[in-house]
Amino acid sequence: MHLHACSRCDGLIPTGRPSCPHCDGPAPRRRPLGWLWRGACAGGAMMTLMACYGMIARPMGPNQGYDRDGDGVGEAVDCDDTRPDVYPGAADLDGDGVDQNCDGVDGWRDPDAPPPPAVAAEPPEPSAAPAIATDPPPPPAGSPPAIAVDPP
Amino acid sequence: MTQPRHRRRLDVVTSTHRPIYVVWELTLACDHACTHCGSRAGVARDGELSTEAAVAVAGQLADAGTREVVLIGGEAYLHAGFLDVVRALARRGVAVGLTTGGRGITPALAVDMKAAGLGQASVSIDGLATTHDRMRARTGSFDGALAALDHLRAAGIAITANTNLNRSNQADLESLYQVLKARGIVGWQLQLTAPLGRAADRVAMLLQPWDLLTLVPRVAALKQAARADGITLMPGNNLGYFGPEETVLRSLGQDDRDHWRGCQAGKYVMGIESDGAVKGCPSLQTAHYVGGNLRDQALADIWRDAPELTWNRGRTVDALWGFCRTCDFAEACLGGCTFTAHAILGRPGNNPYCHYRARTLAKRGVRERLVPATAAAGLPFDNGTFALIEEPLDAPDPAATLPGERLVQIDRRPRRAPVE
Repeated sequence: MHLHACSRCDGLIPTGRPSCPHCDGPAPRRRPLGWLWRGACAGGAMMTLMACYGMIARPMGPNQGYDRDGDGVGEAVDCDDTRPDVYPGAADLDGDGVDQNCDGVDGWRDPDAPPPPAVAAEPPEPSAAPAIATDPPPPPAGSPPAIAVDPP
Repeated sequence: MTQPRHRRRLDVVTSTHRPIYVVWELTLACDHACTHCGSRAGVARDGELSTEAAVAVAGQLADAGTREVVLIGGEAYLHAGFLDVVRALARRGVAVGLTTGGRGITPALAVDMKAAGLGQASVSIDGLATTHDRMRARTGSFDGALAALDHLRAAGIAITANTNLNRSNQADLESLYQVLKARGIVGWQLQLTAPLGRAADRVAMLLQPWDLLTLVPRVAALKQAARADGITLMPGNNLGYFGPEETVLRSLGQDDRDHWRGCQAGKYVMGIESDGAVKGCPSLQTAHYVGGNLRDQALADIWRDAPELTWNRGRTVDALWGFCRTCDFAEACLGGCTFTAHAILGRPGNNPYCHYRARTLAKRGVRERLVPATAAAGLPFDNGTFALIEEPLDAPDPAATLPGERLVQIDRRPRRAPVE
């Protein structure tokens, strides 16, 4: 599901709504950027999975950072730490357009094949709503290149 | 999409869903008999797992890819094999936490927990002294909980607190934060008291949905204050949902834009009851969501095959009903917390404890009031049901005039301990 960030308040706006359900501010006229979707869906639920029992989020291990999507792999290693079905070693359905196992391709990559070309992240557009007026955070050092994907 | 020259095909036989986060009720025996306890803890269940069996389960969890286990009860430390289970999990690289009322935690036990591998402990504190002791049904419970925090911290265990929010304690919220902060907590979790177990018997204790109109902004303001203090405040899975404070509530960092993404029961979360029963979430109703028992079946088989575990994995908005079915945020939210919605209306998919819902109704000048319809049976993790009455936003609140004594009224005899 696409959610826009409201430019007037801190609320979220579902795609298809003409205005913010909280402050009646105008909704952006285009789909949110891939990075915005990732930022707006960065696994808040997963951070609180243990919350009903009072635990706090913790780094997943040395140099792994936090596990924001709850798939057990920290953000420094996970190629998309907003999607719990994406992590190194995940089952990677061929042809669904998503690199679930973080090997750089959709499906399983032949280890003898040349490395795939980098896919550039979706560039911001001038007409994009200033919903979140900052660039996405830079990827952690050592993480694979960002691949902008549409949400399922 | 890149097509590799030679694709190494691998049949997709493994699910991406794994029991990464597990909450394990080690025993239902408890040294408290809290008035709001969802599991009605106090007396051990029949057929609780022995130490040997529990250690074997710890191995199965590690094999299944579990990364974190929180031991709960009852009081987990009342199980004879408590430290053995902590050791078994820690030895396999599983992070181990404990949620506790803290009454029986001595300095020596805290040191033993740390040595066994316990990394984090959350002490349940539900208000200032008077309120907490009333909810916990024991004078001195508050002091005992604070002492437990001190003992755990001194032993080198990261300390957090968790609080059930309801009408009997919501006035204490900001003052309680100051007490906990002074105690050195690194995290605080706030959740709503759902009408589950003993809380289902105490209607006057429960929040009415419109209470969220003021409570959620208070929690969000506290979160901002806690962040400035270096304390992680996180809402429980049944608090919030898509009000203007949603991203503040759910995000770890100041600039993050996290939000609720639907119940994760059976996807990445699993609950184990002390007799070996397996559920998708520890708070789910036993009568409806137990998918198998570890005394009879392998954990991996239950996780993979049991409908009570898999029902949530392909869930869509088609499973929603009532307000939630037509909500703007339906697809992202999927009806909020499953056990909470089930505890109120008898099945999941329509959750009156929702900030966005309360705000939407308030804009129309109305609100929903929960009215008891059927009583709970009196078993662990059970629930009654409620009717939803829509009424003017400024209608009188019948529960507001109930005397305090009514908060602890019980009209059913407690379940007796099983005869050995």
